[in-house]
Amino acid sequence: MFGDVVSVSHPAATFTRMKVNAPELARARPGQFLTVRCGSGVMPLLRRPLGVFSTDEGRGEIEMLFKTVGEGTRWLAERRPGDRVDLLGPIGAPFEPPTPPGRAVLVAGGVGVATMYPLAKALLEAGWSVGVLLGAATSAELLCRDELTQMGATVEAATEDGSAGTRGLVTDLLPSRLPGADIVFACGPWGMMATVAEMTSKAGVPCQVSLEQRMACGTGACMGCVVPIRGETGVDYKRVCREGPVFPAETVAWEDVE
Amino acid sequence: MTPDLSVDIGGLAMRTPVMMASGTFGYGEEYEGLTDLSGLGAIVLKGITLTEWRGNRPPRICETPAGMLNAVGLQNVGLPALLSEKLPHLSGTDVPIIINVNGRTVDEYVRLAEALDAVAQVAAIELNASCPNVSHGGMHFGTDPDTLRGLTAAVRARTDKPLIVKLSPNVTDVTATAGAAVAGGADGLSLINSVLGMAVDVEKRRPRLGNITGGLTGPAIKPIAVRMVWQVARAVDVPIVGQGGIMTAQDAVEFLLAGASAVGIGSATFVDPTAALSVTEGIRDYMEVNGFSSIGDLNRVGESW
Repeated sequence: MFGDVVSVSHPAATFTRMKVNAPELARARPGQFLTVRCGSGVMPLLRRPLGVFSTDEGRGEIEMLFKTVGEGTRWLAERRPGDRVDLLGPIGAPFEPPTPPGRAVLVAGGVGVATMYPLAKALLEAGWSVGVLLGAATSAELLCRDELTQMGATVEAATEDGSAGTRGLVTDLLPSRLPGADIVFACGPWGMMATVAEMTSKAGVPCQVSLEQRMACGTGACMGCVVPIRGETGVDYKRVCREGPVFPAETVAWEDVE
Repeated sequence: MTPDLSVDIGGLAMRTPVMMASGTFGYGEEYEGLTDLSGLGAIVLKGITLTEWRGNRPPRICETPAGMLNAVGLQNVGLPALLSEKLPHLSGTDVPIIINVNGRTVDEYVRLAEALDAVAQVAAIELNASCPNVSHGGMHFGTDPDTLRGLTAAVRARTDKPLIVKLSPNVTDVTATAGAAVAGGADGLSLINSVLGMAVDVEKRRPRLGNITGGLTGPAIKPIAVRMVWQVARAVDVPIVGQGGIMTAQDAVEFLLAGASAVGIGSATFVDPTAALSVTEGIRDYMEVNGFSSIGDLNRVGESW
């Protein structure tokens, strides 16, 4: 489906927030994603998977928050209001918060906040108490801090250079938040999520993670975007675009992928 | 005059010459709602094995200039689930369903062919002797002409369904393997499978694919595919399904002029789920504008090159 770009802003040098008119995508639930074709040629060839940052079903609009990491996202970041983009979605299985509402801790590493933000919003609306741990390299890349706070979440931050919040990794903030937590949700680099999985497992707190993988079709057809998931008979390869992107952290064979 | 797009691939009748290439269209169900299945010439389902295969270690995908490498390793549901779940799901479509078969041994291919021969819904069998991403079987069967002739003959003996042999480009002389497949009893040939390739991450200093090597597809391989189709069309007398990097109708017409009776759409579907329908319409337009009444008329152009 095609959508018209409504607005574009750049909250940090390499980050873009883009609002698009795409009614079919506005029903996306937290954790689901879309794919976007970057350009009309064959370089880059493949569609890019991006999280759905926010939705407005009334207006039929969705928003994406993404980091420029290569030629595809660079092309997308250069779109302007009125430009048309080719989107497919919503894709994948959403986060499944348990009932009844309780205390949730959300861990977002880098651009992982794009996935954690809509979940925080949905949890707060459902009556959850939400703590968000934000991690970034520098204060400039620490996004959505004020919005999450205004929304009602308790936000703590860590930056690798110490320019905002605690100096260090976002996972350093997690242990003190685990007592009393009913569930943890995480999205970020593989190593960060592996650490979160280990910490929550030791503390006996359930955890759901949103995983990324190199993707070709985004429809479940090509079996390309798999991650190692433990099943009853050993490790199986499950698709991020179909069975995922959200998986229970304890089922992921973290050591199986670098 | 309205051009006739129908073709016959060794007994397999297709309304249009455009089919979905194996491995890029799943079991068909993945694209319901994203494209109009009834507008397709045929669908080749994801390669099947006797039992479920788990496939290769990720990462399995790596984008390259105008193409992509994959090393999926034939992860599939296996024959029993194909018969009990995947084929029944497609029972409402009248588009021919082709099953791509794979094995570690000749016996495994034979047993698959036997089982599928009994299934009315299976319009044809594509013998995949060219997967570059599995350590046993696959490409090993498709690069040595004598081995390929023996495998084809063994499968031929067990099925009366149209038998299409999918050829590997990873050979010095594709006409030798093509000839061997025909000698073994192939009714048609499909080419090319992916081109063996590799990419290295210089920051992490390791291969980008978990399997180290993979198969290159997409527009980057199209000139190789067109050349091989043209060579094979001159060497054998069975219909050819040309595939490799077709994104547009112009790409498809290149293959048809070079001698392919049908074309397979692969990676293009990842980019645009409706690519095969656009290609079909574009072929029709090309034929109308240029006065071609049948696909055979297009095929005859390349005979004089």
